Amino acid sequence: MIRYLFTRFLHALFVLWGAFTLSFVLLQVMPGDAVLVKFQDPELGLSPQQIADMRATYGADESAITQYAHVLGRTLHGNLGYSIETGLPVGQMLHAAYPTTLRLAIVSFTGALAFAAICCALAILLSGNPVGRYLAAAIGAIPGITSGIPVFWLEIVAIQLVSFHWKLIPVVGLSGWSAVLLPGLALAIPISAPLAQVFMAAAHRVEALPFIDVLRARGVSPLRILYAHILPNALPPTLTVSGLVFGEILAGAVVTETVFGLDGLGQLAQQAVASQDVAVLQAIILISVSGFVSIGFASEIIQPLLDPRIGRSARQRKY
Amino acid sequence: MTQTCLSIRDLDISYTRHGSTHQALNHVSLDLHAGEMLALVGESGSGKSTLGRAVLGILPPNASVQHGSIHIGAHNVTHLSERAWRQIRGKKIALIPQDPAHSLDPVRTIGAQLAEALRPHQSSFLKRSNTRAEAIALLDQMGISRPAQRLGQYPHELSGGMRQRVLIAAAIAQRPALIVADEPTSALDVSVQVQIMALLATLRRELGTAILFITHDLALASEQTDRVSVLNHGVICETAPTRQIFSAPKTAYTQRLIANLPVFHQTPASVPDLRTPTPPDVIKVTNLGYSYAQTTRSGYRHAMQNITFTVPKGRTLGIVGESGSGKTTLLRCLLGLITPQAGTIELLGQDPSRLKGQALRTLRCKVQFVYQNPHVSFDPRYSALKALEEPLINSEQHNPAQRRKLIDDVLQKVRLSPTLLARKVSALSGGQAQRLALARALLCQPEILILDEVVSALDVSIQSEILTLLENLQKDLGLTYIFVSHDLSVIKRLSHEVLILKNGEQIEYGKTEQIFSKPMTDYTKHLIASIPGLTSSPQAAEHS
Repeated sequence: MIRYLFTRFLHALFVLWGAFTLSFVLLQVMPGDAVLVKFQDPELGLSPQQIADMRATYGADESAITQYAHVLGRTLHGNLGYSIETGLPVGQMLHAAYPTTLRLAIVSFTGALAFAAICCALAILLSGNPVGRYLAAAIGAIPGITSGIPVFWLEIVAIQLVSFHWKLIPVVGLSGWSAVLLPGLALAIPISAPLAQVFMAAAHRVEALPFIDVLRARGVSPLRILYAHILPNALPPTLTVSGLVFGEILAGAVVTETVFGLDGLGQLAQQAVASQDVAVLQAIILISVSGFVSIGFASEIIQPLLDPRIGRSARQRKY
Repeated sequence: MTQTCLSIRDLDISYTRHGSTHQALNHVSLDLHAGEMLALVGESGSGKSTLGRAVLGILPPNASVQHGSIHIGAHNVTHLSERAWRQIRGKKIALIPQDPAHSLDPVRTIGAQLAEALRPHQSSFLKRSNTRAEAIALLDQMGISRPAQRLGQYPHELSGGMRQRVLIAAAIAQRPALIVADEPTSALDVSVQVQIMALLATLRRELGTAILFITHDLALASEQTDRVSVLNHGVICETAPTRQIFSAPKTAYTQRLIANLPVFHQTPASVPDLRTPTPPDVIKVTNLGYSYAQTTRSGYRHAMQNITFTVPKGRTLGIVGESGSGKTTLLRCLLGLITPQAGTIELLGQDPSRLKGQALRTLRCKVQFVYQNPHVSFDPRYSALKALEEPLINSEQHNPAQRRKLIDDVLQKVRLSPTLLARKVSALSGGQAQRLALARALLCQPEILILDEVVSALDVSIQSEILTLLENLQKDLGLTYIFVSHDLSVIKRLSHEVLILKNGEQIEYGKTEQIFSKPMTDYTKHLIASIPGLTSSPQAAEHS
């Protein structure tokens, strides 16, 4: 097991290095650089000589290989460099933006998972009943509808109703978890769609398996069959999808952050792209990739716990 | 005085699908007494599974009981609510399901599932020491070794026979007076089948449980059951004591069912005429061996070793082996899908592993393969015509008129009506689809047919028809067969020679009559003794 974890860790490091290198190459290919974007403005009145000096200060005039070695070296030492746009250390900017994104991700993901689980449970429980079958079909259609709703519209409506009409949560002056509650729940609805779809499809597949009939014939109640047998069996495929979904929100939700005026990673990324702030962009890419890698790693550890047939022990046997 | 455990009176059940109704059971009446074992025999579509489900109250939503009643003990359960059913299921009636591989929850331990069977209405399980002790006692009673250790294992870690024992343990957990056993052995190897049947007999003797034994296999029904009910198209055409059903069947349908049983088939594979010289061997296999690389602990697992046999032209070699015996590996070598590490194969004088390109394609045409489940080997969206036409179109040697003629010819050979050509493959019955599979194999004018369990999925009457067809095709076209089956009675009927595989080794090889009359190894003796129905066959009766 230890050896397995160690090889997985090496894989993760390799993926991170790959993402770092690839992003460096792609950002190099972009025409111009941040120094030019910032200082070439004619209103600043800088002479070409002065701009060249600036570029030399930031190291932008050196060859790509030297720059790469330099950037990789300082990143390995934990120094993410300085933002050209603001002059602040990138680490400090991330430190300011990341908590908001993390909170938003946790709230919206938990909400989405709960929403998906409730949809799925209702769809299964109701489908056994002749009248409930129509209701179950209606619930089955919900993810298709919610996935089609534009996020910004849903969020504006949420602000209108919850904050202005019902006056439940104020729009401004919030901090910490309370600031992400409404945006998180609003974001949860569209992102629950893929989760609910996969969850319901998996649950219906499990429900049709012979062992469910065997359980019924044994006198086990429908509710118990649902929570002790159908849901645990339907969880592994849902987990795979939720890893992807969670990773995506961790990388920042630009639209939600804009609508609610939150300063998260999404905002930071958007500004960095606009000003070609390479150091900031690279740091954000690194953070997102490490988020994905660790989520993938986590779900790989959880999968065998949920389904004993997968995982290392299973691979050695004939299944 | 025996009391009645199950009483069914004039039961009518119908299915509604897309507005049309289909009558599955028609005025069915049955009685089952305490400690009695009644076999409910019927072919697919006869309604036997519907009856089993109705008795357990787990009919699908589109089925409805229109008439009649079902009593379990003193309870009328005909129109019971789901909640009331839960008080009966498990306690008064239990199910032993058909397919042990899919009848246990794959993600929960054996212990958790047994605990649930013992106390379905309570949560918190094995933590209670008495539940744990009871679960261990149940597994022990089922003859499972190291029962305490099994509780922590998952279903995929157990063999098929062991899983079925766990399911039987779960069924008797609350000591129900009645058990519905729905084809409990049809997914198991013959030798395991014997063990499970013996276990059911013990239960009946020791607990006095009544068993409704649902099966398609009349031969299996002849063993250990007290009475047999024969179900045909939703109607019970005959119910009689087992001995009487076999000695004096009353209805024509029962007579035909018995006549179609391969065990009772009087003429074994046509004995080769001694006056004609033995035809040349078309298949020669010498010292064949194959091992799979093990992923861990740098070792090899021998899938098979030292397999040697020859098959003369126009004869049949029957290959018998239980799961894990290496027969699949052997077939894959013969088809040239994998290259053996040791030994040689000669098919029609050529080694498939040495051939490439056009020569290999020509040989593959001459050696055709027919698979167990015809519905899986065809693309279900294809029409029967398209399924037959496809290989001809790919070979690019025929114009449409020639193709049509070839197809008509093979259809005639396999006795399949050309009117079926327009149907989707998925709409064909099992027998029709298997004939289509044979037709497709015959299109290339092969010399060798490799038949892998081709009749295992079929009802006895259809099985008998297909076997007769195979015999006739062999006679008319001089085909050579390799016929793989787990069913010794089928092997006995069709094969001239038999090869018995066990754990990848060839443990017996010889003339069919010789192997069946004088088996050399204990394993073969055991296999022959495991054939259900032999004891009640006419031959056995004559000997005694």
